[in-house]
Amino acid sequence: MQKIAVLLFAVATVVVPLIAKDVFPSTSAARFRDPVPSCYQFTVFDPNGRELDPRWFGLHCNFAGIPIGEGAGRKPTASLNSLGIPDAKPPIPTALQVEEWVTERFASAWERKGKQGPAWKYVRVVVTVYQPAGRSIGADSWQVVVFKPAGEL
Amino acid sequence: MFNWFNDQRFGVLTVRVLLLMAIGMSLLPFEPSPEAVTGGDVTFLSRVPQEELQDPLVVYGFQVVVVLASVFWLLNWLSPWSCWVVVASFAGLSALRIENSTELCHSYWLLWMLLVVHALWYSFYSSPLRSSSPGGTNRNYPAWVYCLCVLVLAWFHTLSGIGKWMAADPDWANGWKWADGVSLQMWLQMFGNPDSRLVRFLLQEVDVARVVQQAILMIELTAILAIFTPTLRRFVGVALVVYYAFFLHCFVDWDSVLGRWGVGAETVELASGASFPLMSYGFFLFWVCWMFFVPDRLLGSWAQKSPSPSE
Repeated sequence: MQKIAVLLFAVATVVVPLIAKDVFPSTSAARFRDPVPSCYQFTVFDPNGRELDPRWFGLHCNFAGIPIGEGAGRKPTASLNSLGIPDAKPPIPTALQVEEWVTERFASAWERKGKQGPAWKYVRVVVTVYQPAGRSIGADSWQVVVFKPAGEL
Repeated sequence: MFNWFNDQRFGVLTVRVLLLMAIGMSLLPFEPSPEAVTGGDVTFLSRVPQEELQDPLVVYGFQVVVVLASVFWLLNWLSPWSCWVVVASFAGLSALRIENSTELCHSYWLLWMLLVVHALWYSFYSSPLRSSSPGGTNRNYPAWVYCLCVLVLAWFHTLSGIGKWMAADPDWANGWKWADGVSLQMWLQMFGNPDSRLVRFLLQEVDVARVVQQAILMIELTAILAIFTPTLRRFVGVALVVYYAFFLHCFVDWDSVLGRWGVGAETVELASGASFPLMSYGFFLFWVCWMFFVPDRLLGSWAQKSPSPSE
């Protein structure tokens, strides 16, 4: 009985994760699995140059080295930063996409901040793209100024 | 005099540490997730209605059962039944957390598997373990229990390596493509400790980053060799300790977590945010050190035939 139990457990330990992948109690132990050829991040500033939480605008990075959408019951909070999402295209959003995205979330971001202090007339979004440059990593930045939508706040 | 490093007590201490970890992990705060469900099966509870999966009362219930059953197991009361209650309730609680999580977490799996191994031990040896006293004779830590623990730990890392190999080349031909150096540089850029000289160096030298990434892949793929001989086990153990030391050094901003000038409110907040990754890394490192470097003499029957349950 003991030998059968030990053998079954050993076989299950090896075989089940290969079949069931990330359905608990099973795991594929997928950390830092998918290669990342480039990455980017958003930094948001108010008119006074104070840094704002990109999460308020849905510009945060959901990717933490673990494949997004695998082995978790909930979808991550929507973000324009699609890093880590399989087959996300285009990988780096355009200035127009950033402007539209932030405009849609301008009022809700102000609410999430707690509506403290004067309302922002605009926010400045700096997009920094990291790509291989020779032997090291090169950073390329550009910015988008997004004005408060008319009639909001 | 009570001696923890008495060879027959290694297993009992292992169980105690496992149970304390289970209690600690079960007491982590829980909040129902407001995010949308992914839709697929991610745990054995995925077909349960969402209201149940998000009900804090259900979670509190599981937490109470895990803690109570763990205390029973720690005191060796009602074993092996208390052992299996811990295994079942910890699985349920972990599944509930995963159902409400937006990110995969494999720490639960490792702890749960090690609990199952030790529950098997208590099932087959419940009488000797219950009747044993510090001066007793039936306190061997059977070789099969130890070997299964090493298998679980080693296979966990090899699985990770296989996943990387497959992600780089689904045809299995050349998974080394995963270790291109650029990916490691990107991860360090995104999540690395900016104050680390090693991180800054790796960000400047893709060739070195490639070698480090290849070493990581090699360590993971070969971890399973640990199950074959004690010598290989120790080689793999050393490699995994270096591997986790690298991660803890490069991906944790210790100055921020510990506080440059003492522990302030910001430090507490940072440490709180970093606590789960830190705990996970610490947890894996602990088990690697614990299991892979056990001198053979500390194991009751590593080099001997396992005693039968009736002995």
